[in-house]
Amino acid sequence: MKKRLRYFLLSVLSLGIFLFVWYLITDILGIFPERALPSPTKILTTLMKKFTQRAPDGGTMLEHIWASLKLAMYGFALGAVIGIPVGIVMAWYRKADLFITPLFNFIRPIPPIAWIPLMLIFFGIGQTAKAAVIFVSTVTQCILNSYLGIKQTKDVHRWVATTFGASNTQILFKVAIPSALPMIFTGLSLSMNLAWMTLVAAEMLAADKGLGYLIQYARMMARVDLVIAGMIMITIIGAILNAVLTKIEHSVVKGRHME
Amino acid sequence: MEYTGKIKPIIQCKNICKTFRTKETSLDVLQDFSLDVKENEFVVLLGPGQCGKTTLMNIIAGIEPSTSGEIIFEDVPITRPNPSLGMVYQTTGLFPWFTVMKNVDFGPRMKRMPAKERKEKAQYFIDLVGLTGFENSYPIKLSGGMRQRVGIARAYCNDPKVMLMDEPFGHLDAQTRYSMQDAIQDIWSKEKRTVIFITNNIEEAVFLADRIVIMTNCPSRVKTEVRIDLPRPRDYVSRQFLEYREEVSRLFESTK
Amino acid sequence: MSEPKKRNNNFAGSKSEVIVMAVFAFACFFCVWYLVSLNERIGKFFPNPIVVLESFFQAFVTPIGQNTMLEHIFYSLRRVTTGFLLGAFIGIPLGLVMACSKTLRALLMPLFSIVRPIPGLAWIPLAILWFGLGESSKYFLICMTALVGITVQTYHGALNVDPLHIGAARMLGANNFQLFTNVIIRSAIPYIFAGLQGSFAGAWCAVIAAEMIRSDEGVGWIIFNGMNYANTTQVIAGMLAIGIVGLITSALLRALERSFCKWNIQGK
Repeated sequence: MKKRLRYFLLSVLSLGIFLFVWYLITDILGIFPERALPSPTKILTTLMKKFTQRAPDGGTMLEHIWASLKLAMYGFALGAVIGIPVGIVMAWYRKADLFITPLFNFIRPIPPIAWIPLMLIFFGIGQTAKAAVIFVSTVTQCILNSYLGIKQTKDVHRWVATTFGASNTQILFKVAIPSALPMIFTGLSLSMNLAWMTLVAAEMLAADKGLGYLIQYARMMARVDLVIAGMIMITIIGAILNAVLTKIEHSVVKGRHME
Repeated sequence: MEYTGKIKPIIQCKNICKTFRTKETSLDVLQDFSLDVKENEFVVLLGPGQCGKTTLMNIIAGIEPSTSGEIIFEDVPITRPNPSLGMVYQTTGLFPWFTVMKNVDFGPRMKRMPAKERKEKAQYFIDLVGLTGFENSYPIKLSGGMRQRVGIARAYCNDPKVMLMDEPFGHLDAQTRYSMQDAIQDIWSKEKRTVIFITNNIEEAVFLADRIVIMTNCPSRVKTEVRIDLPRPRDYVSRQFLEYREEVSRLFESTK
Repeated sequence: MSEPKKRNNNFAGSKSEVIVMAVFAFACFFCVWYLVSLNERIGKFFPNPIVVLESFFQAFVTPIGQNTMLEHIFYSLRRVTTGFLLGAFIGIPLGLVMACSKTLRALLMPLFSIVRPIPGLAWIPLAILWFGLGESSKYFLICMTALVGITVQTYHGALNVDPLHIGAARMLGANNFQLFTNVIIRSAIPYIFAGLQGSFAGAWCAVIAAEMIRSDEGVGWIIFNGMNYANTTQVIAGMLAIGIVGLITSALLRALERSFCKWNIQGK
């Protein structure tokens, strides 16, 4: 017990020293010019102020967060709603598997970011293009994970269901899908992270609001403190989304680890 | 425990107690376990399942500390792993990333024995356990019985004075188990060492042991001992074997 | 009720059936694409697939911008490899050290936990501000993207060493250093490779993103440039290149893993 306390204190100390040294070399000693590395206090104040200030980019932090979140959720939800069933169907029905899987494997290696230019050409600079990119990335990941999840349905479970007289569809819904849920949720969480990251990148390239746009604009204005503040916000929102997803997963996927 | 004449035991367990404590409960696994083992004696610890036999092995090996009591090996207490003791595990504990040869010569390699000497020594033991030709195979390609043979060769190759074997055949099927018992008897007759062997199989115990130590349920201690005075190689179906077996069985059942 | 059909989930079937269906699927795909590209309105966005393929192969001979396709690929690969190796050289030791030393873990983990959740691409503006618009900012970005995944996986691998193996090694006389090199690192190798593979995909994304945002060559530049001139053909050709190179490098990494992990059938 004592040992654990010691290590905990060591961690706290480490964090404290880090922040202190940072503060020291910026505010007090001024080794790094403000434009390269602002002090932690400056970043914090910028972050706080940005919640209400519109300068220099034309939107408050909340407006940016909301813009990004809206887009990410929209693309993500659409992608999941379509991707998961498609993946399940592909894995369960042989004809679908043979036909769709080769095409899917062709699309898959293309990183989601690489879709941005194409979507921008199709849809122009607007929200739709970005939503489309997020949709593609989510759909790909969800299909993949749902497919794998269904494919690894245990033979034993299928045989038991068959001997009870279950039809193919019944086995799908009562055996395959529930046993694939952990994998499906993994796919959702991977897509979530991917969607969030892709969105930020897309906003850096072509947008006029959103967190990605914010940090890109701040970069062009050489406002390091704003860039870091934006990064902090991006990270926090990403972490919150993850936590929410995990919570949902825990309540849906119960009684998993018997073997 | 009496020992005949003035033969000093090579390894002794003196009043070993082990208690596992959690926040709510405490579990006494071993209580006042004492045992003296003579050099080159084949001692079998026979006990019901889940009664701390593996814990006892770990304590003797120096991997786990006892709550009280000590292990004396050649007049020195054991407090940490000692290469003079060799251990064979139920799940073999082979290093999957090393070939058979590199598993077997691991001990000498740690001692920085020169390569040629090392190879010869390892080859001797690989041949002894009957795995000639498999030197460059990886454990994943071997059957359970073969893997256990590698484990035995690996333990032997480090020149231990005492071999600890923790239910080494527990995970093998019946057929393989019989052949491994034969193999152990054969290997041990060619390379005698002190052996402390754990099992819950009565037949196995009577087949292998010079002396069977029967353990009680949790918290475990020595219930009684039976000397097996049968010449080797032993026969599972000889009259004396079956008599011993019945006696041990009777004593064993009465501990439950 | 009809007799339950015997389900074979493996679809092993006959290999030729799989190939035939795949070819059929691609044929359908191309036909649909071709037909769509003929349409006046949509055809603007969907160039003729034959044209796309032609221009893809053409790019190996005639340069897009200043460089041929191969040269672009080379630039991108060089960037991603440098950044990735940098990330691995920092991440693997970092993960090992944090797993093996409780003290260093207590010191380093909080700092690592701050960096860890930051999405790789969010580093781009900061990287440019700190390192300028040249190659260093890209190396930094790719390094940061790869570092997190590699460190985490290495850490878990080293932490999950079977205590039985540690006990066995100790009984056979291994000291701390020998334990580390013969048991801990070896045991962690499958995890390390998992980390390398996962992070490489992210690093490849990072390169593309970095090239789209600021560069003059590379496969990311190809699609960005194509976008700026509404040259869909170039964009799709670029996407093809990106996908293919990504596939090849992944396959190479997997082959490397197989040779390092001969002893482990499942691989992970």
